Amino acid sequence: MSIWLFLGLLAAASLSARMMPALPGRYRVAAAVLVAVAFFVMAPWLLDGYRLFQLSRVAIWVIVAMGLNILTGYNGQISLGHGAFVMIGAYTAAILLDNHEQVGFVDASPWPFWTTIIAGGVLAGALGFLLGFPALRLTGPYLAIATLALVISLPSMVRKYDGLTGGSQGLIISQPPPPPGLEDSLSRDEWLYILTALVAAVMLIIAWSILRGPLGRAFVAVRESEVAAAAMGINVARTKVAAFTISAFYAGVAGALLTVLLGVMTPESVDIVTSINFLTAIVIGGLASILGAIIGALVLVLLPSDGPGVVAWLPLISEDAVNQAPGAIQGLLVIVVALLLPYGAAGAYHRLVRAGPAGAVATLTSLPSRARERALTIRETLTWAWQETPWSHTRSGRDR
Amino acid sequence: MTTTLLTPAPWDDWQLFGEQVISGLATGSVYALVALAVVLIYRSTDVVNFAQGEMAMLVTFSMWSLTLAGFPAWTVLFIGIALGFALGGFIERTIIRPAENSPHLTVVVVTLGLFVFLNSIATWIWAQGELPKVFPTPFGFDSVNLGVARVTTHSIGISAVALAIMAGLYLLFNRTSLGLAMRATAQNPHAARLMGINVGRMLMLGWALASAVGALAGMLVAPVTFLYPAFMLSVLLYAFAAAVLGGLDSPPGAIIGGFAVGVAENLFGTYTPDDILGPEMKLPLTLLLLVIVLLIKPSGLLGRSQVRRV
Amino acid sequence: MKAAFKPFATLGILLAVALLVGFACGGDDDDDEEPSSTASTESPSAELKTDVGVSDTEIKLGQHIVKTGSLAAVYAPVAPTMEAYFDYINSQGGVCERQIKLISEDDQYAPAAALEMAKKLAEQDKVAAFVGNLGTPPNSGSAQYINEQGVPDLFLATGVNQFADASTLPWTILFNPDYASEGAILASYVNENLAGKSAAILYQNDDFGKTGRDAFVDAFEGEVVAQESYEATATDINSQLANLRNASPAAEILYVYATPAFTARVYAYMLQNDWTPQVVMSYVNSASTLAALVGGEAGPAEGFKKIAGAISNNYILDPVAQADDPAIQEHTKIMADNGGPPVGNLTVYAQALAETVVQTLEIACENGDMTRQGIMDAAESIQGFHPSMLLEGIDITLGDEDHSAIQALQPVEIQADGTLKPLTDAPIEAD
Repeated sequence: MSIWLFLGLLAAASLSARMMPALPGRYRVAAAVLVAVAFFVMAPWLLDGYRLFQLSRVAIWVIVAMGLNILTGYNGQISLGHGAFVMIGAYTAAILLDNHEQVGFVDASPWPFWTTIIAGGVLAGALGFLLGFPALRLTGPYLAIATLALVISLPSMVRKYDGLTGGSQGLIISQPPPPPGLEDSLSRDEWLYILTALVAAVMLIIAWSILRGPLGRAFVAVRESEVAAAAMGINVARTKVAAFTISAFYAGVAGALLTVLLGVMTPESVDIVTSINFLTAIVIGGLASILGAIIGALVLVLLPSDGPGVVAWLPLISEDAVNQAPGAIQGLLVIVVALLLPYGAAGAYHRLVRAGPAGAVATLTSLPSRARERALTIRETLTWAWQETPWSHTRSGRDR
Repeated sequence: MTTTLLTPAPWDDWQLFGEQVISGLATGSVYALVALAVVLIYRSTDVVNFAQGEMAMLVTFSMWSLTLAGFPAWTVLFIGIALGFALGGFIERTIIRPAENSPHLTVVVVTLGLFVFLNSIATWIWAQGELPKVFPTPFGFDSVNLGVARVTTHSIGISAVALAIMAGLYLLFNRTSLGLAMRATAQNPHAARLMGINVGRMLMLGWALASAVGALAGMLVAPVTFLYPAFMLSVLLYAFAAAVLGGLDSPPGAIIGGFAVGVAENLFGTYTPDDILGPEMKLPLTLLLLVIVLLIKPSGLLGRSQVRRV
Repeated sequence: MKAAFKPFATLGILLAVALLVGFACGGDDDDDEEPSSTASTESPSAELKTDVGVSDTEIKLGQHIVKTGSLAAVYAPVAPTMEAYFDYINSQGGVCERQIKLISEDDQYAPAAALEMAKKLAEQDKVAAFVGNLGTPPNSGSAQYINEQGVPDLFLATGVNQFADASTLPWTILFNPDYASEGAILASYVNENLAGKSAAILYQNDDFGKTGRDAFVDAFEGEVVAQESYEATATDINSQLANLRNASPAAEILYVYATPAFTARVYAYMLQNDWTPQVVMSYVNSASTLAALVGGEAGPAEGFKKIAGAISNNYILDPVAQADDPAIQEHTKIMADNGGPPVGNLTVYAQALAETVVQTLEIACENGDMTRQGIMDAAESIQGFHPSMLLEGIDITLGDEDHSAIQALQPVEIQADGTLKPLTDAPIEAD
């Protein structure tokens, strides 16, 4: 089955369940989630190895995006450096899974793979905890650049201390086989998909239960106003450090899974651009939303592999141009989506659901005319830009 | 891991020390110049623009095509500044303005999309044939002997331009009503609008000016690093560090931050033991220094500390 | 209820339409026809054995290469050159009367994306073989998988010798001369001809630079007085160069394992400071590229004067210095006639690689076996093949254990007039 048919059916079925008039309101969300879960359970039968591998990568990025969303979306702290936490988790797993003598105090034999996933998360979480304190003093762009410094520095450190990390050649590990009894019935792609999807599901459930509890409400209160939160008796510092720790833990778990999925870890595996793209993913998907993390991760994986191809299929677009500059198409799609859906895909979804079936139809049918309006506005502003020069204001500014 | 420490370079070699400091200042002047563009856009629109480097790259490549057509270096420099100005204003008006009422991070993501877009466009147009390309300098590459070390006339030219722009920006923001209007717009657009300031035009002007300074920086960096579509990326990252170190809203801070980053990097690379730190770790060490400074002064060396609104 | 139902149905219809669109859009995911394993009777070579990726009319090859991100521009000419050369071969009737089709996918120069694209090419597009997968990080992501699948992973465009190890990667063959061999060849030349001199070393801090540095240091018999590294993303390397220049005792040889943009800055520093050690550098610094960068506005001719005397290695023809060579003229014509990019070092290189691919397929065709195994056997049986783009005397010989295509290098000295003076009678074979 084509991935587009798969995702299209999934969205249609889940959305229908969400808006099912026959269902009492409080069951609709559960029904929508169940339908989606059913699709993901069926995926190994419906999709080929390549698409399953892509979905495994999506599952891993879902975990990172969820963690970053807790920090940035719910708690309002911007991090551009989550790639660093992913790498810490990934290298922790790689070193522990590697059967070479790396560190004196660790047994030379490889650990069971599931313990390395926990270890990756814990180590990254510990680092997140330590960094959470200095982060208390920084705000906005200062915090963003400081976290960016972290991800810029890490590859140099990995290359430098190559006794531990294998240096620029990286570490090659043997991937864990399927659990006993299932070796024959599961291909490796299927097994790794089930593993990553399961972990992602567990991490999403944990996130959901944290976010609907007192800590989650504290995150949002601190984001909205630290002073008001403090007045309500919330320990602002502790809340912010908690967000950093949990967020880094998520990235670490995802990193360890990445090592297991790839079978190799090199200093180039998570670069600055990937790290910054996590932010793109949660903004495109939707800030402060679990659904947003999922959609963002899908975009992160499918945009580079299929974005240009899908655009080339549109009328009036030369396939040649798309092949020549695939990055231009990707960049353009990000800009267009960010401008059309300021609250991300999840925001649009919630608006659609709030509008109900009737409103949804109205919204969808009015799309063409609204797009035309938008185009007219842009044309007007362009004409304006030609006709009026910005410096004509300089004089009047002085006169004032 | 070995326990023997290779001895770092001796401190009493003043000739080497002088050369490291001066070469650090020369590199730092490049960071300072780009950092000024970062400060300019932050100060006038309250946004950190990730596409800053790629906008400069696009202008520099266009100007490279002009030099092929035989235009002299100085002419190209001024056409490039004008093109950068126009490009900045155009981008603000077409894709940044529509995100005006969106969450702050949406604008950041739009600049990230723009980054990918411009990089790919440049690859498409200019990457056929040999890369990197040579870009001319208007200052020449003659060697100037400063006693302990030699620098090129190009490096001196960059420093002079950076200082001149810093002075210009300082005057603009602190001595003109236009600068006052721009600052007011960045700080509180709604209040500024009530005061009768044309907010849209101020934002557009801020982008245009920042893009012009960025384009100038790109055209002065390219003769040293050579010209290829990614040539501004690491410079921009250094410039971010420099701007943050000096304070994101302070033009003199950008200059001091740029020089400090350049010199610190060279000294870390030269005077730390090779087998545990050394040149491979000079970037992490410099960034560590940045973070330490930020912990002591959260808004940079010369930045104005932020007042928390209730 | 009823009022709510009508829009609900409409919504369903709209979604169905959207799905159809999605289906049509993703349709080409599924359109890979199973290649016929039983050749039809009209087929000219009825006895040809095939399994995956070879039909009666087409041989499907795959490649993952960087197309987006910071390195995309640097390697932009490689895939189009290979496509143009295959078009040229196709216009001559193809191989085995079949047309060669190359599918290049973007690996973003990252291991994870490379593995993903390798899966797509192997399982969805069902290519017969991979050719010219480019770069060390992407190949470290994909090589293991490709080997497990039993797909020929031919002629990797990198020089890291771990990919030439037939015992761990039996389906992978390295194309470039590997950096370890080159370091050893340069060291042995220096040992013989510049005996007793001391050396300072500058290398790029990654697999490329470290391999080239280690091999040189191991074989070099003189004294290494200083070593400095730089990051591939560095904006300035004058600090490292100052340390090398001020080393005591002073270095007489400067061994540079760097890419052209950085080697050019080494020269800028040397000229600025009147520092004149004997430069010994890697073959990745093709003379004409380096001369163009060092010459700057004054042009390559000036550049050659400034880099004259440098010792380097060479294995492919230089499109500038050897512009009159009939092979280069032929290459220029092929590129022009088949929509290839403007001729440069990378197009010469990429055509050499594509020629070797065609040679492999020809052998497989003669053997009557174009299965994946058959193509691999054909590649391993290449003996003394000389791609027209390589220097005279540099031939490709492969074997079951020998998975390194180009192993000979010609030490050369760059001359002020832009020519390359061979320093040995024949290219040196690496051990």
